[in-house]
Amino acid sequence: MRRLAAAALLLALLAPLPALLLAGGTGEGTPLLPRLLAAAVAALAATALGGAAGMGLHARFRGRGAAFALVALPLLLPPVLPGAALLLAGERTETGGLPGTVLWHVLLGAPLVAGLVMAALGRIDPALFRAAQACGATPDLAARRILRPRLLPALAAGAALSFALSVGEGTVAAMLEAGAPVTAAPILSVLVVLGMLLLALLARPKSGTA
Amino acid sequence: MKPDPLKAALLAIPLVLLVLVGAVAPLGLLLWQSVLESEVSPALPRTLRVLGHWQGKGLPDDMAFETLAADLAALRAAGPAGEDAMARADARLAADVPALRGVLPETARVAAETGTTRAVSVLVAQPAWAEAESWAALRRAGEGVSGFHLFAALGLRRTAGGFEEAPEGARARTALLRGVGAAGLATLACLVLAWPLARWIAEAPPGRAALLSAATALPLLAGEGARATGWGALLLPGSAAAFAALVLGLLPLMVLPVALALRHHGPRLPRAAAALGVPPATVLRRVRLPLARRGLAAGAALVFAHALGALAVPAALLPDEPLAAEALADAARAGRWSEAGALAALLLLPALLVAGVLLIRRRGRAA
Repeated sequence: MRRLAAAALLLALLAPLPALLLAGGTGEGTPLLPRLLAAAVAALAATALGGAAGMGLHARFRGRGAAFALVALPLLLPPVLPGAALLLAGERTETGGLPGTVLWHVLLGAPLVAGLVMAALGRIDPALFRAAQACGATPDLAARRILRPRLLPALAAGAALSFALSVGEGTVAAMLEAGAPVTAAPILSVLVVLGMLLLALLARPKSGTA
Repeated sequence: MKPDPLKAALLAIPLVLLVLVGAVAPLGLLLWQSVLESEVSPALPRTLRVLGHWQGKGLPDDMAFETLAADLAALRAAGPAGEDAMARADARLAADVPALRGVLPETARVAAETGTTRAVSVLVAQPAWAEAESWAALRRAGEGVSGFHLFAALGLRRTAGGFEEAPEGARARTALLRGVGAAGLATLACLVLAWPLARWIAEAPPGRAALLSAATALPLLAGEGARATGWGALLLPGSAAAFAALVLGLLPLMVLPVALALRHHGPRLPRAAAALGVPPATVLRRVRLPLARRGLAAGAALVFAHALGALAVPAALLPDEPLAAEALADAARAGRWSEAGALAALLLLPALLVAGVLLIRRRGRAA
């Protein structure tokens, strides 16, 4: 019974996407290539910054709570607010809309990457490091053999997620880039998201054994 | 791995700095616009300086009339830029005192054609300048910083004795209340609807759980624009359709944190409670919901904020009745930054309040 309700709900969630394909291309917005390039730049920056922040926030330091709140802040803001704020900032600094869009997508993707990295680090048994030390491994070797294989899948998943988020996110992008309708290239975003999720799924079983 | 506090802080600093530069600073700039009086002072700088000496009793002296005529003549001479500045100042005065709509351009036009002294020409052009109230409104609009736009977004205007209803007050308040109310209702609906799907994901074997969560995340990642187009093709515009599309679009933001929290705690505690003979309803209330508390709080904060800031879905399915977020987007696109800033302040407040209440209390309890 509950399973049935859940399945019905999932179908309802996905309903607008096939309808979108049926409704035909409304992709008269921004051209595709710049959008994909901007998303790639945003995903790379989000992965680098978010990965570093996730590793930092995993440890304890003074002001960790404040840093954590600031990193999570972009996710907790109503999307129209950064849209308006970055539009104003772009006008005052005369930089135009695109840098603001990329910047905002970095800020949205980075906390996701940081969260994935923190989760991956939290799953590591501290006994592993003690065992490595007892076996005479240098800290560098231990980091390479214990940390890296667990961090890389988290970073890859975070990068894929950031890229998909950046391609799909339309509210801030539509406010910042004049002329781009809110529904710019929606079909492309669905296709990219599908491909990204497939990739993430294929990569998952190998790393998900921890 | 020995945690080094300094190294950890250094790793987190770049992202924190980027958030400060890319989110906090622009938001601060936007909010600052809401208290800044920027419409009248660029248009009538000399008049405002002279009005600074006025006691506020009776009419101001000849000097004020003279400089007003001079300022208006300068605006007329400045061409399109001057006309633009005059229109902005006029709109600001009319928002405060509706009777002053059109008075500035009309005064400028008639005074230019009158052969008397400048002070007399102003009075001849518009009888409104014979009333102290008009001059008081002009002086109010020239103060550097004021709460006028914040109160206007709430549908109120300040008078000598207190507050009264602004000309467009009821409409502004309705848009704001509908926006916040719809976000609150959407959050409640998501809290209820997310539960079965979240439990399905949490209790599935790993491979299927990944597939299910990916399917759940798909509409979220496809973006609000894609969802709005899709729902627009499926549903007829209306309040119910807009609300359903809003809730279904934001549901993943609730399902995924709740599923994560449930999965994190595993099935052992609820199973043990059930094995000890606790009825299912009590297991839900005393074991499952408390275990999912962190996920529910995070999901509620996310859904509320994103429902408050939703733009494309209400625009596609509720075209006639703009919510607060659309009013804000319109003001920002048109460059009416004082109005946009005031609306931003009024939307930011509930979003931060809800996030703070939900997330900070959670941390307090966990500690």
